[in-house]
Order: sequence, then structure tokens, then C-alpha cells
Amino acid sequence: MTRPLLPFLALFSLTGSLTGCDTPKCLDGDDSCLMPTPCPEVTYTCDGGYSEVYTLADGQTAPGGMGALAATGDVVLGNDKVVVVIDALDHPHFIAPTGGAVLDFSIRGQDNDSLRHIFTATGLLPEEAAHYTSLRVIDDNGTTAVQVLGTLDGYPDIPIATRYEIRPCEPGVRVRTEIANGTPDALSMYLTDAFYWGDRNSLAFTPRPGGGFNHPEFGLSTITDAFFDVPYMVAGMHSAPGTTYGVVSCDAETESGFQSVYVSAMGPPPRPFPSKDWQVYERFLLASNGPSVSGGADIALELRNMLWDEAFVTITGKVEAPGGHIGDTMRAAITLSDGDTPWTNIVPNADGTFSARVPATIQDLGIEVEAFGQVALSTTANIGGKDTDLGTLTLPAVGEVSINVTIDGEEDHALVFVIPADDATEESVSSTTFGAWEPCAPLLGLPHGGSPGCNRVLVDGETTIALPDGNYDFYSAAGPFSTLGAVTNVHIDASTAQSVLLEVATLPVEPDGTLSGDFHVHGSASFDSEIPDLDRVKAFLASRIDVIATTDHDSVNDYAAAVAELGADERIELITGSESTGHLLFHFRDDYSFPQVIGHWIFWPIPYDPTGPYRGSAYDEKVEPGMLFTKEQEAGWDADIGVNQLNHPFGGTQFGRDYSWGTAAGFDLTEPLKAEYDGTGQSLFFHTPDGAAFSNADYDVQEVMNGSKNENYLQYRALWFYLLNQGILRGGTANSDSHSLTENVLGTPRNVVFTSTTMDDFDLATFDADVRSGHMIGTNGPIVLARIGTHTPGLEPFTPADGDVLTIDVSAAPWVPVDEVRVVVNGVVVKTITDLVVPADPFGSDDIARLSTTVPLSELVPASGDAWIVVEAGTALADNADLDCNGTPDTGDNNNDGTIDWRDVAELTEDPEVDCLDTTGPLAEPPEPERGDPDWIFRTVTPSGYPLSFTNPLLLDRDGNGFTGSTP
Amino acid sequence: MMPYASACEAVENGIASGEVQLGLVDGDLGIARSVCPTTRVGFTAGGAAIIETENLYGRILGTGTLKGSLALSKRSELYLSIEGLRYDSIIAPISSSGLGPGYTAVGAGTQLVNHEPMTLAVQGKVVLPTAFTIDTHGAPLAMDAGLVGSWSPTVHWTVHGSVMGMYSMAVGGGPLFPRGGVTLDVGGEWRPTFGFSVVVDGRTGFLYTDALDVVSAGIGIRGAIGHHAGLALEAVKPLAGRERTLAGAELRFDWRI
Repeated sequence: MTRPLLPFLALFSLTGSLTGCDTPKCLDGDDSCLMPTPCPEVTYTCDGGYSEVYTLADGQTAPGGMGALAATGDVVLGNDKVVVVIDALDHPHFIAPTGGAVLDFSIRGQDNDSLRHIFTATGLLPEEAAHYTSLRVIDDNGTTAVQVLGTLDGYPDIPIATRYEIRPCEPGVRVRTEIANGTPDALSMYLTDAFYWGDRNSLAFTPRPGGGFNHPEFGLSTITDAFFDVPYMVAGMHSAPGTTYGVVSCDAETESGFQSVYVSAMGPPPRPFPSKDWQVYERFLLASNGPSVSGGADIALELRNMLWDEAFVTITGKVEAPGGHIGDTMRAAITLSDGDTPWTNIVPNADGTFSARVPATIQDLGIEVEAFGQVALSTTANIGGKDTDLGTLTLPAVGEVSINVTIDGEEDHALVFVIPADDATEESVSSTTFGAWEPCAPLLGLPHGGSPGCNRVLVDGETTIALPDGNYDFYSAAGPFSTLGAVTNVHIDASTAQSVLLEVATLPVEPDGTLSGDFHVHGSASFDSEIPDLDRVKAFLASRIDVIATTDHDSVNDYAAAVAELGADERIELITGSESTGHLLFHFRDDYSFPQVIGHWIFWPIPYDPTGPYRGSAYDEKVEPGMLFTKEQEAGWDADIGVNQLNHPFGGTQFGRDYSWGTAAGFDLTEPLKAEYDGTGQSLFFHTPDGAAFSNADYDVQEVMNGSKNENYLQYRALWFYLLNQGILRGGTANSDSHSLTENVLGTPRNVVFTSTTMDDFDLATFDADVRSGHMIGTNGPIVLARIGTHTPGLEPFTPADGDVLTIDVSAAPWVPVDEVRVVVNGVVVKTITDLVVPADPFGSDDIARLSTTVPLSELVPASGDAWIVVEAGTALADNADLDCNGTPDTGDNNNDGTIDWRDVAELTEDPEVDCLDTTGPLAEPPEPERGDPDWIFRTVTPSGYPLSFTNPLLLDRDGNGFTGSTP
Repeated sequence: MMPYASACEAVENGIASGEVQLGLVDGDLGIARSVCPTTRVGFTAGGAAIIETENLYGRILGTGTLKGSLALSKRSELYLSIEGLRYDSIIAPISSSGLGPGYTAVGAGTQLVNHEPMTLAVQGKVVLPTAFTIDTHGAPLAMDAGLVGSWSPTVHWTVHGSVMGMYSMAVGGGPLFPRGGVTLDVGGEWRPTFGFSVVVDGRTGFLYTDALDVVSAGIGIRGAIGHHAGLALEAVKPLAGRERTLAGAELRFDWRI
């Protein structure tokens, strides 16, 4: 009898060893279950501490801040230190398929939320995110918590449960997640908090040798190499008002994760997750006042002291820089390390003082102070593992300059570009923000925060900034239709205070009867922008633009407080709208095996709802465009008078998400669109999704120019031309897609809309009708006017008379070079005019008119058949070819050998020996101008751009039966 | 033709018999052993792979297993299988792998009917959750039981079949995730000599992971080395059903005592 019992005895022994004491409590489908308080070892005490939990009622004010998105129905967890918002299950945001994630997280009383969201997942794929189906608010005997239960999004047999609990006095929220594998399959599990930063936002900091803000770049195939085990992660946006966030594991002394400007992930190390296995993960999500990360790191070390008995010491000191004012006109950052491992990064207070914690194990403290993004001081101090006052850290002296701008003789809002005047200065001052984003020369401030951002300063009256030693030029323009104010070669050093006055005059370039408009701009309500509303509206004013569609990603913002503060309501017309930006990948094409999103679409007007989810915009995930249009209409978009715009219609992916409908759908421009839906991308254009009130084709306009660089103009216009040739008429727009002072110059490019409404008596319906009808040109400087008789560009076909001529007039500010005018007929450039006036003085105000000419239609259009004409003006376009055979230019002569082939493709090192390449690019741009050239001068206020303007089409219905398309 | 005794008694060397022993469920759950009790020890090196590019998922599983059986009589046996080494690599956007001991199976069987040329036996085993390093917190406790029969019209041919019920549940404090199903196997062995045989099997599973778990084909080549040793190379290829494994194979060495 003994032998048969042995296996069972072994089994019981084994069961005990596996079970441990902390088993899952809420994975059996019982909604009444309760998870225990996470992180029981953490203990905070204080006087007057309290905690609360409540559901936001209709009209109840939610915690504020630049990233605040809390809406009625969301749950607020708060105490005397912090306020946390858990989004309602039916208000999911960004990458989470349902609510139940941390949506907002701010310091009590500060209204400084700058979080996108933190959600729970077990991997990178959409199906590996938590899909919560029940939410329970727990407010019982002093326990304030929220508990959410559900499954993984793609695995209904994998239950997951999370408890968020807040206690008095604590600088954050305790979190416990339970998960078990009820599938028969072994999976790879990385149970993680995904901190979605969204880019141009918080930068993550992890203490590890060579780490800090330095993190390896990675792709899907190399992500494993980006994992590091670290004691904590903290992230800050480095500019006020901002909050620092972080996480400390309560289960293990280190956590594993990867960091990027888009997302940070932290959790237990990835491991196989066999069938029937489970895991519990407890951690503390913390928040502290920013900027930088030292506040968060202080809390992380405090928590580790409670959890692992790790002692810390406090380092204090002061930073001074003769000639500059730390924290006022000059920003400094201090990194404290043990020599190999940076432990914290501090932005000193306005008076230069600072205080931060480091582990008590440090004997010799490494101290590195950065100013303007460059190391200004590097030293060590023997602290012997004790609290230490470092005294005063004196940086090399810096210069200061006072900048002022007058526009038509009056001080006004302006954007000033500070540019090194010589190569030596450029080389010495060029730097990045802790290695992230593009370099700035000089780095006056964080590129995507408020002013100064990168090398750009918003001024309204005299404004003083600090500058590193060197020679600088200062430029400013009041949009593209003014003179260019310039003061050049100003020597800045610590010994001399300089002042610069830039005098700008508006010019009669913009035609009468027009309003300028930018229909694609972002501010801090967008997940990928952190420019404060006040600076965003200052940038609106500096651009001298008339109409702006505020089109934040997946959210509506009316900028009302900033507009009121600046008294801007009489100067600009703001139309509230939104840019739908898909985050959740899904399959919508039968001819493509990987999940995608449908690109970006803009809608206006959408009423701003200050307490509603997405602030009035629609939930936009996992639907085809036609259903998206329907949902936006249901949410409040006025489709009758409003506009629906297809943005940047060709391109790639960002953070693995398609940002271009044309590319996501895989439109082959060498083939006609399919009228009948067969599941293929080519048939998606006209498809009406089930239950939708619109087809995918029911948009009004598409972007032809996007961004100040115009880098994808050839591709955008290729789709536009392709559709025109098939008789599919959509207006072409030109928008800045500005996200900050650095990422595209607001209003460059812009639309010049021919409309009967005016700023004094603005009528949105009239304005939008003209936009929908294509009564506009797109431009970043030149104005190109085209007409045939009395007919001007637009989507109304007309029948030309015999002997009609095309009349072309081109004008531009003197600093905007216009080298050629191209006449495009049915998608082909049939005439190029190069004998244009060249201004004698780019900084003057003369030579605005560049060309006035006529061309007989008979020289331009085919002998018969409908035709369309678009006229372009600006710099000659670079040669590019279509190497993947989809009808869209994709690759330039990048090796300058005179031919465009596989050798020009950046990612190819050998001939793939196929006619059509799978990998292409990059597109070639017009050549880089030499310093001082007219094109270089243009780029001083239009970084990396080249002059360009285009008309909407003149549609020639030559047989009088309507415009039915044309043949190239 | 050689003298005919019975299917079990005719083979006295180390060659294996019965259906293909490679299973696709941990611990070879649902796989019946030969109806012929033997005393032997052996070692098996096996592997299986899943490759699903479209799902960004793959799995490579490698095992090293010690096996032994003890014939209690001409009709009954006990057996033990110890998966001493298990390497489980999950290929995903964030991949992971584990290495450690695998599952342990303890089983028994006895013949119910032995009328030449037909034999019918009842078998069962328990698969113990001993993959300590890979099953970090919760692990499966599994068992199967069923009938296995063989019919040997000649000494060169044996037709075999089995029906096994199987069940598993989790131990370790988490959800139980109970799971039960049935496996049917029909196959045959061709034994041109007593030192060599070829076995083929068709196997179908129901209800354990889905309505149709798997329809698979198995093949094995078995040989005797001397009087005691045996070598078998066996492979299984799923053809239909929910099973995600692309194919599995194992090489087995036996020493018959």
C-alpha cells in the first residue's frame, strides 16, 4: 500500500511549495472578491492625512493639467499628496482596449497632470493588453481603492485583475495585478506597467551603469537587447508645469524593462507562462513635482528603504553661473552618480539651490552639471555615504541677450530664431536633450516644452535669454507674408550684455478676399505635445494666421483660458476639432496579414466638452474610416457644415501605428480603385463599413503639404493627382502639423482661402464651404494665382472657351526664393517657367511680384477630353523614383550617381534582383543650401524647408457632360 | 514465417512496441503504452516546434526524459517517466525561455483480455507538476486512463488502438482551470523481422482544448540492437484541430531487462 501513495505524498508537498502565501484572489470569476492591500511593507505617516475615492459626477471638476483627460464617470483616487484618475471602462484611451488604467496623475492642489496613461499588459501585441470588464470602487473603513477585473484582450481564458489603492500621506498609489494562464498554450509573459509617454513628453531615467537618460534604440526584432534590470524607473518632462512619475517594485529588488520616448515598460522579467501558471505583481506608482526626475527618485529611494532596508543620503548645494540666471533665463541640470551609475537628475530651483537623495552606499559622488545641453561642470566629492552639502557649484560664465521684435513698428508676439552665425559656434553649441530628439543649436530650452524651445524664443516685448558664448544671428518673420527681421553676427559672451531689435513689416502678399488658415495644429492636449496652452496661443499670434482648427490627437481643446489671458479672441478664429489617431491595431485588409490602424483624420467643428471623454471627440479605435466618420458625427462633429480631412496620406508608421491611410490601405496608384469591395486594400477606398453612414471615401479634403519641411510632398500629391485623374475630387490643403515651437513652425505651411467671410464677421459655414470646395492655395511662402478667364481653382468644373489662356501670377516676400513655376496637367508637369524676378535684397520689402504671365490652354492640355490643371511655384523639386512600383515616388538619387536604383535605398546593401523593391527610400529633398544663399535665408525661419505653393485644380469639363476624370 | 506465440511473447528483444509514444500534451498525456508489460529503462530526447509568423508566435520545446517500466507479471506493469530536462523557448515580440526539470509521470496498466491474437488492457497515469522552474507558481496536475487493445493477425502485423480519457487541473493556489478530453488512436505496426518495425498511427483528440483538439499522424521506426537494446525514432504531425504544434519528434533508447 505504501508505494502507490508515494506520488500523492510528493504531490501534496509540491503543491505546498508552489502555493506560497500570496496567491491570486480574484481570478476565479467572482466579482465580489477582494485583493489584499499591495505593498504591505510600505508605511507612510503624516499629520492630517486622508484618502478618498469617488466617481466623477456630471459637471464635477476633474483634476487638471496639461495631460488631464478625466471625464464624467471616471474614478478619482486621492489623498493629501496626489490625485489619481482611473478611466471608466467605457472610456478607454490610447493603447488600452478598455478603461481601468491610470489616466491622470497629479500632485494634490497643483493640477499638473502630464501623464498620458499607465496600463497593464503582458507583451507588445494588442491582444496582450488588459481588457477589464468590471470595476469596483472600494471605500470601506478607511480603505480607498479601485479594483478592476477582466481578461487579456485577445485571450478570454487569461483572467487578469488589478487593484489600485491609495492611503493617506503616500506620494502615489499601490497597485497589485494578478494573472493566470487558462489557455492550453505556453505564452511569453512580460507582466508590465506600460507608461505611454507619446513622444515629445517625459523622458525616462533608470539607474544602471551608463544609463540615466541613455537607453538603447530598438525595434521589434531587437527589443530584447533593450531590457535592463534596474532598481526603479522615474520619468520627467523636464519643464514646468510637469509631474515626475515612477515605479518601484514591491516584489523584487529590481524590475526589468525598456525605455523610449514613446513608452516605458517596467515589470518582472519576461518569462515563459505555461498553461495554468499564475503571477502576482505588486508595485508602487509614484508622482512628484517636476521638473526633471529628482523628486521621483527621492521617493523611489524612500520606498526602497522601506522595502529593502536600503539607506539613502541627501545631497544639497547651489549652482551659479555668472552672467546667467539659473532657473530664470538659463536652465541647468545636475546628474549625481556613483561614477558608473547615475542615480538622479536635478533641475535646480529658481535660486540655484537643489536637494536630492542618493544611495548611502556611495562614497565618491560623481557630479555633472549640464547647461544648454552640454556638460558645463564635472567633478567628484567624497561624501562617505553621508548627508552632504556640496556648497556652490560655479559654472562657466554665460552671456545674455535681450530680444525685442516690432511688427509694423509695434511690439507684438513673434517667434525669434537664434542661429549660430558661423560653423564654429554651431559645432560648439549643438546638443540634444539628454540624447533624445533632434539636436538644437543652441539648446535654449527643451525642444517640445514652452518657450524657449530648442533655438526658438517667443517674445512679446523685451525678452532676455542666456546664451553660451558664440556668434549668433537672430531672425523673425510675422508669418510668410512679411519682411524678414534679421540681426546677424552678434557676439555673445559673458562680458557684454547684448540687445537685439528685429524690425518686421507686413507685406501686401496675401491676396484680398482671403483668410489664411492652418487646419492641423497640436498643443498639450495631444498625447505627443507638451507646449503649454499659453505658449501655443502666443505661437498662433506670432504666425499671423487668421483661422486655426485646433486638432489635438483624440481630444478637443478650445484654448479658452489662454486666449482670454492674451486677449487673442479678436485676432484669431479658433475652430475646435480633433485629429483621430488610431492606436489599437486591427485587421481590416484581407490582403495584408499584419494588424494596422487607419491613419489620421481631422474633423472640425467638434464642440468642446470640458468634462466629457475625449473632450467631445469620438472613441475612434478599430473602425474603418467610414465608421469613424459616423462616430465623429454621432459625437458632435457637424458634418453638414464641417470638414473632414485626410492627413499626410502616404507614409509609414510611428510607434508601430500607421499614420497614413493611403499606405495602410496599400493603394496601388498604378491601378484603378476597385468599385466593388472584395476585402483588398484597393477596394477599401469606396467601401461603406457595416452600419456606417459614410463610406471610406466620404472625406472632404486631403493634405498635400504637411509640415514645414514638405518632406513627403511628392507622395501626397501623387495620391491627390491619382484621384483627380479618376474624377474623385477632393480639395488639397497645406498645414503645419505643428506640435511645439520646434516640431514644425505653426502656420508654415498654411492655406490661403478665397472666401467671402471675414475676420470681422466670421461665418464658419461659409469658410468651411470654401475649404471643401478647394477655393484655396497651399503655401509656405509663395503665392501662386491661376485662372482661366474668370474661373479660379476649385472643385467646380467649367467648360473653357476656345482661345482661353491660363493666367499665372506669382508673388512672395523678398526672403522667399521662387525659382520656377510648374504647370501640371492631368498629373504631368507640362510646362516649367524659370524666368522669375529675383529680389535684390532678401531682407528688404521690394520685388514682391515675381511673375505675371499667360499661357494658351492649347499649349497645355490634350486635344480633347476632360483635363485638370494645378500650378506650383517654388524651388525645383528633387528627382525621385518609384522603386516599389506602387505609383508613388519613394526614393531619390541619394548616392548622387545619376540614376535612382537599389543603391539609393538606405536599408539595402546588395542588389535584391527584383523589378519592384520591398524596401525603398528615403526620398530626396532639394539640395542643402550654402550659408547665406537665398534658400538658406528662407530656412532660417522655415527649418529644413524649401519654398512651395500649389493651387487647387482648375477642372476643365471640355465636353460639357461634367468632369469625369482624365488621362495622364 | 516464424513460430507464432503471442504479440507480446513473440518479441523478447529491446524493440519497442505499441503506438507512437510521442505526445503533444505535457507528460504525454493521453498516450497509451503498449499492451505488453516489459521491464526496461530508457532515455528519450524529444522536441517540438510551433511557428506562427502571422501571430508573431513560436515555440521550441526540447526535453530529455528518463523512462522506466517494471513488469509485475505477464499482464501488468508499472512505469515512471521523469522529464529531467525541459527547455521551453517562447518566441514572441518579447521572447522568453526556461530551462529546468520537466514533468513526471507515474502510471500502471494491466491486461484485461489476452486471447490470441487479441489483447485488451486498461492503463492510466498521473502527470505530476514537477517543472519547478518553468511553472513558476501554478502548475498542472494531470491524469489519464483508458483502454488499449491490439490485434496481431500474424507475427509481422499488429493493429492497435486506444481510447484515453484525460483530465488536468492547476495546483499552486491559482484558478483550477480544469480541463478534460478524450484521445482516440488507431494504428499498426509492421514487423518484417524481430529486429525492425515501422509503426504508424492516426490520433484524434476531443474536448481537451477545443471541440477538436487535434487530428495527427504519427510514424515511428524502431529497431533492436542486440538482445536488450532498442532504438526508436518517432514523429508526430498535427493535421487538423486546435493544436498549434507544427511537428514533434523524439529519439528513444531502451534497455530491456
